[in-house]
Amino acid sequence: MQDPDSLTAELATVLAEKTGGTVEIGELRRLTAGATKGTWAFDAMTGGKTEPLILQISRPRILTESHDGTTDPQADLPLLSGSEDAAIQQAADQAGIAVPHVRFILALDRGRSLGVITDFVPGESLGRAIVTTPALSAARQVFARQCGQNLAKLHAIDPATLPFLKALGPADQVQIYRRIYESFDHPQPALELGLCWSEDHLPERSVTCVVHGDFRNGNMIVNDAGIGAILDWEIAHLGDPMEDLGWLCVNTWRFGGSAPVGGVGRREELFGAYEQAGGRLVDPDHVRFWEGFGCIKWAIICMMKGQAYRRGGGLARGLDLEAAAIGRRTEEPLHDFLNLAYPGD
Amino acid sequence: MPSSRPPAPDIFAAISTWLSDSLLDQLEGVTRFECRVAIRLLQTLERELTLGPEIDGAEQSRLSALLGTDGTTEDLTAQLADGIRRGEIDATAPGLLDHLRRSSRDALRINNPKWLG
Repeated sequence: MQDPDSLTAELATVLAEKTGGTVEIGELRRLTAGATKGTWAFDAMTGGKTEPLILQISRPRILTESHDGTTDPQADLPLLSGSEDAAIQQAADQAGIAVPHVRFILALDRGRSLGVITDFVPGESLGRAIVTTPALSAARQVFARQCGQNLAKLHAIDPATLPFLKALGPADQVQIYRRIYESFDHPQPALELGLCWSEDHLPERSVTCVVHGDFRNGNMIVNDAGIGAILDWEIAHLGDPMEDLGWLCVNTWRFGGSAPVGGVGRREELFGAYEQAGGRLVDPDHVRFWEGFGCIKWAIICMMKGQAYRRGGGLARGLDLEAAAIGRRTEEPLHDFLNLAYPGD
Repeated sequence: MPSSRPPAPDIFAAISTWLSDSLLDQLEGVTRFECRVAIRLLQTLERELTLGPEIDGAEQSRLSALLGTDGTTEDLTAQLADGIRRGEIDATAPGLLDHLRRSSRDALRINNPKWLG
């Protein structure tokens, strides 16, 4: 399945069936950024016309059991299947949100995996490059406002149209991440304090909306005009809309930039554009909860990545280098959390 | 541990220099990215071996003072985490925030000194 030659041949066959014509596939290459799913770029040639397209391949999810035989708490996190992921992207597209337009949904590998083909959106997706590349300076000016506008449209989508989304409010999330952290049996006092802080600062009231769940610099394609496409919808869920605004401001997603919104924009721009585009009134303290808990959540995700190879009481698989490196990033958000929650102490 | 020479941090440094100077430019795509990650990890291990003992000693003294008891850094850390979880120790406890800040800063001195600016 991962072999480019057989994938090229399979794509040509499946696309010919879908379109009823001959399709030649050229330049199939694996994209490096984005490690959780298989993402490929290729050119489709039909009747002398060449079109760059993107293919995302997803496999069914495998759940594991933890060492005491209970279900792994990570199973409580939202994770959309490939077809649900495509469905939410299509709903976002219809709502006028910047997303790659879905062209074809295909069964690949004799039905064992699902392929979603979308338009290729040109631009930069590496967070650090978005913060620093000179050619993107105009995009940086509009980034925070465009984030606000896209989020207002997303949060206005009727949740009933996406019935597969899991409800995951602030209290549920803090509880799930606490259980995941506890499953590692690796005590971290700063993280315990962060979990207690999150429990003490839970928003008193929140509405329920369609939430992206990983809305941040690094999960978007940015070009001269600003945000070209919002990617990585697989952990979308129903929840507090302020989650998306707070996560976007977490220090890690500033990639060394000094401005809070993705390293390039001001909170006032984000909140103002969000409200103007029809979003709810933003209470900065409410967003700050999600930014603070976001640090704690990212610290736990770093632990998850770094310890994934030893789950289930033994070595589940080899430790890959990137996972090892992410595991060693756990203290970055803990340091940021202490600065956020206890400034001036 | 035998005191063999050259010492481990120097060997880690030699490997990461070799990877950056001799190998990195011959690679492209995913393997090039992975080689950069490998270099960063080796540099982390080098710092851990060099700074680790001093950092661990300081952490153990702070924990002993904070909890008023002796033990290994690992045991005292577990005790502190437990106290916070039970609500017996909170952010107002004298020395707690100072300890946590120093611990995360020291860990970053090993894992990613650039994070400290």
